[in-house]
Amino acid sequence: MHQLTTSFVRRLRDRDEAAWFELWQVFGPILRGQLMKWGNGRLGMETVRDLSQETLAALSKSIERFDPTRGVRFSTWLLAIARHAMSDEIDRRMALKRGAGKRPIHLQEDWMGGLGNAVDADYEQRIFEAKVAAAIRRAESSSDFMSFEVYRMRVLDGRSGKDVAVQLGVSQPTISRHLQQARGELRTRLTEIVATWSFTPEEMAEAELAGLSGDDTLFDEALAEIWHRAASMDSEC
Amino acid sequence: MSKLLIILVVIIGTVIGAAAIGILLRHLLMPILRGIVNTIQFIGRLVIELICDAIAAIWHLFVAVLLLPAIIGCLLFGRWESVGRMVRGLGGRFRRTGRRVAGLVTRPAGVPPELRRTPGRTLGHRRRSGEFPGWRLIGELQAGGSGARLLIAEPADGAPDGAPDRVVIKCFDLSGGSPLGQMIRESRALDGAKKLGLVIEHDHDETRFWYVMPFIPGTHLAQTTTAMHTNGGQLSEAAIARSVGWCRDLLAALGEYHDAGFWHKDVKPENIIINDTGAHLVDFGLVTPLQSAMTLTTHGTEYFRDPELVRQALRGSKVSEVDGARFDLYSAGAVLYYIVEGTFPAHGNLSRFDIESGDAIRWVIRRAMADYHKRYATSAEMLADVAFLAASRNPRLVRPADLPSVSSAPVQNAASPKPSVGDVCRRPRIEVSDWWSGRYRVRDAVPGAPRLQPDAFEAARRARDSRRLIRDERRQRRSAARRSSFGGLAAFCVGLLVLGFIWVVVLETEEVWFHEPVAMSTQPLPDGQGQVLIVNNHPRRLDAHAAVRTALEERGWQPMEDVDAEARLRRDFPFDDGLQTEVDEASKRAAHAVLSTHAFAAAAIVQASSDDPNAVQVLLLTGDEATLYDLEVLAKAAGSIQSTP
Repeated sequence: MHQLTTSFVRRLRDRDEAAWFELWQVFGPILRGQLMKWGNGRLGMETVRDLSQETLAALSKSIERFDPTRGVRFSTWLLAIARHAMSDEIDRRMALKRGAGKRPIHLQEDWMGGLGNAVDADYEQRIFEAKVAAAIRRAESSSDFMSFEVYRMRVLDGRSGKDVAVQLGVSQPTISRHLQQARGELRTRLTEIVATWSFTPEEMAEAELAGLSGDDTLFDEALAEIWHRAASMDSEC
Repeated sequence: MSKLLIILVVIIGTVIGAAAIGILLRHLLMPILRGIVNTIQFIGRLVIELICDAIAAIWHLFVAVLLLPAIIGCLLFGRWESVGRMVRGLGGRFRRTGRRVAGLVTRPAGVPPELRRTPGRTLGHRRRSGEFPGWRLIGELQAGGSGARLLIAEPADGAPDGAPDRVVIKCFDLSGGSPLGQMIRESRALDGAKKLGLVIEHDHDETRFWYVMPFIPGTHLAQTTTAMHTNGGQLSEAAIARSVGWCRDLLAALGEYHDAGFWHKDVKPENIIINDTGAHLVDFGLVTPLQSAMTLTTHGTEYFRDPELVRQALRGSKVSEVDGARFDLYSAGAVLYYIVEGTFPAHGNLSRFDIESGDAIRWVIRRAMADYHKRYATSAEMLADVAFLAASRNPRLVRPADLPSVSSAPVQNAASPKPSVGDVCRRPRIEVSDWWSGRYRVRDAVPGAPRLQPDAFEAARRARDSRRLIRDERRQRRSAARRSSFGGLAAFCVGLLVLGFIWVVVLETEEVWFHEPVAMSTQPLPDGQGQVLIVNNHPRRLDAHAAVRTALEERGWQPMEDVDAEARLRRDFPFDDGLQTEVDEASKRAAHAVLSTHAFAAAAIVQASSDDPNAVQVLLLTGDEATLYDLEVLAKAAGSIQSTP
């Protein structure tokens, strides 16, 4: 297991609030999306927010029991906790509504038990995309503003090099230089994030499978594809 | 010479006369005419409002009646919860009906139009005074998340000099459930707000704490943005230009805060009021001194609050250790994103753009929401970019390279000119302006910050002042033109209709209630036009019948007696007292109808005189005319006719 992974778990156990905030930033949107999916459109945004916070609170209580050396994905463990939080919420609601003549809300069938310990492919794909998004966020924060903007316009927005050069009032070689800088930063941050949040060999290999370890062209294409897929899924949620 | 003098006198006289007429028209007739028009408009408005109230009352009663069977049905089926809900609904209906009916009787004075447009509720005729000394409450705004009530008031006796026409009173009440922590926080912010001139006065008693702010009419930015994006498509050029203008106003306001050594900390669409003078930043409940020694808190609104603020707060940083102005700039960028995209930036600086707003606007948003060290260093720097966009003909076509922050200095060189987060800044230099009250001004609001760009600020301030002037002029023009506006015209027309209706009713009533006296003729009877129905209505002179018949025959009439026609005439024509000297139009028409039905050209009613009960008069009804004749005169006339060869 990578040292970054164990040190991050240690930070979580030490109640490092910055680490918890980072965890919330990376997994919060995915968690909310999953809860919304389980809710089958019957859960309001506020309820989903409350449930995701309860999940995080439960996670903070049980983080001591999480053993990264056992080869269990952190995301799967988080999903199990979210499922229990949801279960508690449903029980509470049923108790409130009992005798009131109202029917309980209908939730998606597989929200409890159906999944077992099996890995939900869709969920894990979203977790991976969240890791990539976190790497992009971190690279955006650490790289030069102009370099990252050039990369964003050129790769993520799919603009031509000439167009970007005209818009920013610089030459095309300058654009290429900025691209190289931003790409280098992205590669570094991606390696860092994947190392921090991967607990199994499968997770470690996800980036390579997605084409993020190829040459510059392949890397850009893979990153843009993942980025757009994640953005479209977020907008659907 | 004398002719010249006369001409001169005539000219002077004409001029003086014309001037006198002009003055008379201007100062006497015009006010009178205006008063008349105003009165008619008032009547019109009153009638329109009364009609609306009546319709609403009828509708509420109708719905209440419809609900009754449903309630009974639910009672029969034992659905108590539904019954309770319906009864509550019915109660609400009745309350509303009661209010409407009360409104029919006691129509309150009109609520100010800007107050009607403001979300919340108005107190209407239940205006209260005395609750807050010096202020009379007229309405209430929707409460925010602070747990305080927002009341709209106008100055009353004891209001401070120079108080605006309308103010907002933010009132925390412990007995009403306002949280004590929030009260303490806002009371801390009050000092800063007073320095910025945002608070008129404040006070407290055993359970309450309140302060008074100027009322800014308008809708908040969230509503305006929602309305702007209702069609879901792309924004027009005008909409983009408007959006940039609002952002410029916001940055100018933020610049004032930062100049005075404060940061707003809660910049979000709900705290920005939009009206015809631009965007106005309100709600200073979280205003904090930039150099406060307090620990940074995570207060603010998600998606408009910088994540770096949360990180620093979680680390326990002091406010003075960070640059709060940059957090405000992040929020300003998020607000601009919200305006152009119609949704909040869910992924911060990495949020996707779906609306075509132009590269330069996107650049400004991303630069404002960039990492703490890489974003705009000051509000002046961002304002310069936004002002440039606002001044351009089409902001969509502006290149990022044209923006002042990009063209004047490379972005990478401009980044982080300020102390980094975590480094302890030195305290600002202050200059005490009043030793007695302890007032001071901050000479160096943000230590180490680059000098502000006064041109951009001055331009924004000048623009704001000119807009205020334009607003005042518009108000005056509106008040002058209100009478000629469509609403005024409609009210005028309705008023005119009402007056016309009243006039017609009065005339009709006059016609019904006041009979016209029948004219007594001294002329001989008219020439015969056919059959005439003779009706004897004289109780004493039965012999008069023959005399009248003779007189009529002599003038060429054919006197006839018809029992049916007489009976109908007696039924439709008033014969109560046997004396008919006043006949109204309706009676004449009725008589004419009876005569036409029975093919009579006229009717001769023999009756007594009002002066002498033994005298005989003849009321001759021909067509729609009624004429009274004296039998003696008729006899004489007949005699004269007979004597004529």
